[in-house]
Amino acid sequence: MITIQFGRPLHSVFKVLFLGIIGFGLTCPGPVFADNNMAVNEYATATTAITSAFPNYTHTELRQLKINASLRSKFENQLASRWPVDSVQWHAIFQKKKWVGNAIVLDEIGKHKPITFCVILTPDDEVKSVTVLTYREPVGSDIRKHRFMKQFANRRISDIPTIDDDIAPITGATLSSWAAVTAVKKALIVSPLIHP
Amino acid sequence: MKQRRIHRWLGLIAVVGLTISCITGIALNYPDQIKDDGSIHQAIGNSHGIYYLYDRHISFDDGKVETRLPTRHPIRYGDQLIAYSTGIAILHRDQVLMTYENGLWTRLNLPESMAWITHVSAIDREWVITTSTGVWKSTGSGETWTMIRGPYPESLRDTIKRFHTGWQFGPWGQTFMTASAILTLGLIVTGIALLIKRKRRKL
Repeated sequence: MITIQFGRPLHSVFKVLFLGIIGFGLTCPGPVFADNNMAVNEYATATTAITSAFPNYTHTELRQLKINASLRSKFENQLASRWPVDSVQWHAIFQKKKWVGNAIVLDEIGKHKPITFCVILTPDDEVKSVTVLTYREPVGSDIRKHRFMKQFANRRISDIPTIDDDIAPITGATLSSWAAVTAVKKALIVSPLIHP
Repeated sequence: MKQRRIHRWLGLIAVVGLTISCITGIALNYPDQIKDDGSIHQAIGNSHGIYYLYDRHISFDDGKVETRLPTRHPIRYGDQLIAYSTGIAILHRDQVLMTYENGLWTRLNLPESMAWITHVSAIDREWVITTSTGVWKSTGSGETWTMIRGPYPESLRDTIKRFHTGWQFGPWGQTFMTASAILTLGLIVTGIALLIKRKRRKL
């Protein structure tokens, strides 16, 4: 019979750690079988996202861009992907009478459920900030953190971000990272058409 | 003394296999970090032509010229192509299934209860998907899904694989397994150094 002697107190700590890791491994359900019935997490609202990007803004106006068949075809060709929407809603942001930017709220599918993003753009059609408003998946919410979102700052239509090449995804949140990139791409494509 | 000698020789024999296993294990845990060598992983054809799946992109050859296809998501090692009469589909390693028709990609909505996908095939626009716990068939072009076989328990092979790669514990498990492999390499180096030191002392 093999016996392991843990003589010193330090060894006892290692023993507990070792048994703890093994125990966790055997009881952990694993990421593939994670419980998907998780509450919806609302991390921000469009108003808080706009306040964070433009602290001195005075008011916003909610507007809508109708997307007809020819416009949809143009967008889809730019995206190389289907985008079955009839309209896009956006907030025009004003500081007194001066238009300072737009905020577009978009839903993009993560693994199974939509993630709501707020993409804020400057009048030059540059990304100012990207915020996760609502996250509905059990894992991957780390994409809302600044270290990931800051990678989109100052992106333009001529500099559309691509994952892996110039946007480093978050480990364990690959599909949410892809969703963020798609949301930003859509916002950049729409941006030139929504100047008030 | 005899036990020590046996331990030393067994260790020296095992060190070769252990070193290879550790280095290749670390590399295979991060396949995207391995340099793209331009090799074709999969080629499939339909009535339009032949599609080639490379390490980082897909291209299409209509018999005259080979053109690179724009993709919505990055192409990675481990992705699979599926051909059907009107287009192609790609199953990304991350379990996203996209179809490509008339120059546009469309993502198929898969049920949340669908386990790990191991194989995908298409009959015209209807899909048959084999997962680790059952077989699913779509009605229409992927709008609704029905499990036609299963659910059955995950195979022992798949469970072992999840433990081996560390995915049982998620991405942190993968990192832990990589750290363990690096630690093993460290133990090999320090073990050999101790052996050499002891030999020199004896001389």
